[in-house]
Amino acid sequence: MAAVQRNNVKVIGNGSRVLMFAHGYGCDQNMWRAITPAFERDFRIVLFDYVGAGLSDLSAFHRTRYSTLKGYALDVLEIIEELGLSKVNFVGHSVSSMVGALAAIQKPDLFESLVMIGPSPCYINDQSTNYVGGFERKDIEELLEMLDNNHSGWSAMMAPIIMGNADRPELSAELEASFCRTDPLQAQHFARVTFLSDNRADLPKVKTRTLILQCDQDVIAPAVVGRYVQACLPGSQLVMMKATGHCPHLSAPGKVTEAMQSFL
Amino acid sequence: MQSVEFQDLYENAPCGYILLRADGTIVEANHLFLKMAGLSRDAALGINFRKLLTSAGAIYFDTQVLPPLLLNGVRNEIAFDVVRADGRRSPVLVNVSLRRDPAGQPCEIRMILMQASERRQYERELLRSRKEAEQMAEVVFHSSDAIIALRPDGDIKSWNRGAAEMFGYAANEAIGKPFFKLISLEEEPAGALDSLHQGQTIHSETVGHHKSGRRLDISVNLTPHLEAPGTLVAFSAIVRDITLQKLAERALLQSEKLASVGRLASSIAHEINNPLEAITNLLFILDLKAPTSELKGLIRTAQEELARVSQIATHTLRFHRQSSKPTEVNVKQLLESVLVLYRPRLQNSSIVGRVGRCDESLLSCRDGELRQIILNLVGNAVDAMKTGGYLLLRCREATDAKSGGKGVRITIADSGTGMDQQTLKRIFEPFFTTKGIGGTGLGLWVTLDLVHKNFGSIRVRSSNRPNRHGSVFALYFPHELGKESATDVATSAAG
Repeated sequence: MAAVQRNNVKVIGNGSRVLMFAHGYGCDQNMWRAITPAFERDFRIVLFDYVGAGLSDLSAFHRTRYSTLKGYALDVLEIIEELGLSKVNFVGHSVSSMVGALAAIQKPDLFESLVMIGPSPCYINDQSTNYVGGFERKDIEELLEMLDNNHSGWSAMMAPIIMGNADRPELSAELEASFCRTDPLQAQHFARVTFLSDNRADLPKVKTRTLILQCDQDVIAPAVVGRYVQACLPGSQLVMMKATGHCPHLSAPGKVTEAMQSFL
Repeated sequence: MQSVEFQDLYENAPCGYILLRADGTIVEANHLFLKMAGLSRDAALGINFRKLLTSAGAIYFDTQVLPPLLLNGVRNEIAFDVVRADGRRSPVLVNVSLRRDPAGQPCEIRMILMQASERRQYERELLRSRKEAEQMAEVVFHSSDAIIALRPDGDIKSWNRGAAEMFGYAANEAIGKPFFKLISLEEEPAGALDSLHQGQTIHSETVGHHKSGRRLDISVNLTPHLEAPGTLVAFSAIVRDITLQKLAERALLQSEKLASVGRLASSIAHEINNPLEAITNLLFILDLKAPTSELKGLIRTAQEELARVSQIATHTLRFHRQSSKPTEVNVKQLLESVLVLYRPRLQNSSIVGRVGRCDESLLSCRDGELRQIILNLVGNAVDAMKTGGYLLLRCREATDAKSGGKGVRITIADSGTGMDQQTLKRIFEPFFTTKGIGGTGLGLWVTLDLVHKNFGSIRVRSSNRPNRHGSVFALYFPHELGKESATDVATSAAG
């Protein structure tokens, strides 16, 4: 079970339908804690960490494979195939919306639906096509520099806790505090892939039924981007939520659960 | 006890302190924060904290700060830039905590902000030098020279890619092991370490040992790293593989020798040729005038021997430029013809010479050259058996252990005096001879050159022990010319 170990896959729930959650940039599968309980009765829930995040196998990190979102989509497909899943309902936060889209384009038969939370196919404004992504390239470069500035204190403290001692209960308190902390080098890499990718051309190829959950006050994926995604995906639904921020499933889990339940 | 004024404690705290709603709206801010942000109290309250950050900062806030804060309730030591109203930036270090309402919903974010201009500058400097050090480390790691850091006791501390390739050991096999086991220094390792402890660098051209046992010609530089008060804390070894350079030097030397000897031999052969022709003519006339058949027989033998001399002279004259085409040679017949040629000398010295078990091998080689090789070796064998003995020539089909190719092995074994280790080491050197005034010291040297010209190899075993003395020369020639690059000489002696 290579992919299952590599991506620290966890399967919970008792239902017959399959619900797969993919975390976004800056966190790991723990970000779904407030959402999953509502679905455990009706769904078999698959959680995982991307390589480089959470408790994934860091040694599996391959710069070339993961230099585009396609590499991450390939991992998703490998997990689905290893677990022998079909009719997957894929919930992707932020960048994972695009990972899910790429996976569904490649193997449409495996997917029943996609849920995109705060999706953005391209974060950088493109004047030539009047596309508004919300950021300029220099903003992203500054972000990368900022990740550098926040290196300090990471490598010495966090790495051993996250990487080596997951099975030692006396460390669980520290582990708790480490949720959603990522190795800065990995954070750098994933930030590059996330914020410098442009997957606008892929959107029209998606044939899977899609729900778009959009916060009306989201700095990272502004509402205008959510509407752009909807326009590119024929037959998709857009739910505009009265919420601030980019992580409604953490800040307003109730609203997200409700919207998902009515869609599924 | 003095009463504490909490309002003042809060307003004039030595750090910025703000209260945000869960959506990021600022609802309360102390005096120092307003100073940091360059805002009036009215302007600050009610705006979203994200608006005070750069775009990058806002992304960072939403992706790296809020998720862990919402999950864990706290997030400390975040480096931000607060953008002041006048556009300048205040670098700050931020700690945040989350308060939840009784229903468990996040309701308040408390944040303290500490000025961090100097610290940020220091961190930038650290980061820059760390990047430089990483680049430096990359350069060292990928160098094709072995660059090795060593502990004061000589154990290996770091091992770059060049070292791994040169010595054949991976980093995890090498680190922690004693470095001086890998190279042979002129002095003892302890002596070398002493010099290093005294701050002296060591340079040496010496021999290293590859994991496979292969010998490496290397140049080594050992440089000590001392710290006050003159304590050796580490030293570096930079090792360069000079095997190829050495080979090239040897080849150059060899070809220079070859050229000068060739010139010498040619000029001598040229001088010999003139009297030879005279003698040939004289013998021809003598043959015509010889009265008895017995005399005629002797003259004919003399003519045959003279023809050989003439052939050798001609051969020598051309030997460094002539390259006749290879022909198919029946090795067994060649061995037999050599023995016939030596029969008189064998009989004189009471030597029993015979051609032993032989495969009927056809070898593609230069006939004359192979003949000369065998003649030289048999001549030496005869010289080594002044008081009689046995001479055995054999040939068989063989496989080269190194290349796996097919070829023919020819052995020439004698029960002569044999050679000691010192002699064995030098027998292929030009002008080295054990035959005193009668030897030229060129026989085996020329032989070796001819063997190499025919892509062959030669191995020698010899013993000079009283009851088991003798020498065996084993030649190997590949069937397919040019496929072998065997240019090795192997000698071994048994005591």
